Amino acid sequence: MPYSKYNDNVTLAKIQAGEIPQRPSDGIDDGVWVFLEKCWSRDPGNRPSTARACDAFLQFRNLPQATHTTEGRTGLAELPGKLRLQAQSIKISLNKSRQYQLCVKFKYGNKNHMTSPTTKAVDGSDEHTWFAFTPVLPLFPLFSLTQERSRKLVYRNK
Amino acid sequence: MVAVPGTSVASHIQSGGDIDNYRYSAPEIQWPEDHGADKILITKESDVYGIGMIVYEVSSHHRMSSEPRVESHLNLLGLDGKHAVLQIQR
Repeated sequence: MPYSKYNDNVTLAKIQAGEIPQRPSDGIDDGVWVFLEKCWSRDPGNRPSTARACDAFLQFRNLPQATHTTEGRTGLAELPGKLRLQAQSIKISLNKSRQYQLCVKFKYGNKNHMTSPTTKAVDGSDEHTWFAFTPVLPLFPLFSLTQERSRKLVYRNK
Repeated sequence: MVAVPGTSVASHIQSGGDIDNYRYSAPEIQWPEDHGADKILITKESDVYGIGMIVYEVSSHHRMSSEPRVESHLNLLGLDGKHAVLQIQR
């Protein structure tokens, strides 16, 4: 696990010191990992541009299937029973008008699901829907399966 | 103040005081003084950092911290050039 063995204060100190998450033993292939490391460069100038991030994330659609068992995983311990999830594809796109979209296709039980690619702002103003964020499914599967839950995503402008 | 295209000065980043609110935030917006800045500057680069963290979590199924949380914040540069906060509840 990345920082999960640490408590919050330790984690925070490690991030401040420049530590990035450890590469997990499964679930991330070489190409994705190299790209993520660049995204987390301490010097912002060394990070990929949003345009390049867009290109790269689009290429991640066909990630190798990673079967994940939530049992015993911290952070997912609230899930009932033994829940198996397969993230089948991930699509994150950033278009030229800087709209982000994240869509995860996954297998839950014997059925295939796909997260909705967009979420509307709760204030109903479409102009604020530039960030289209969907529930991060493998992390929070129970909250992602129902529309009612997904509506709890709140966007606000400061 | 001189407006720099593609950046937004924030008085503070949404935190709430725990790690879950920080995990998507690039170091330079969490600790600007460590990076020679006297103000919090939300940029496309800091957005890329946060998006990378989401990709990491999604593709690895790992979370940054072991402590359970019900809410996270993603500090981003809005299309309108203002600091935008996406609140993620779960």
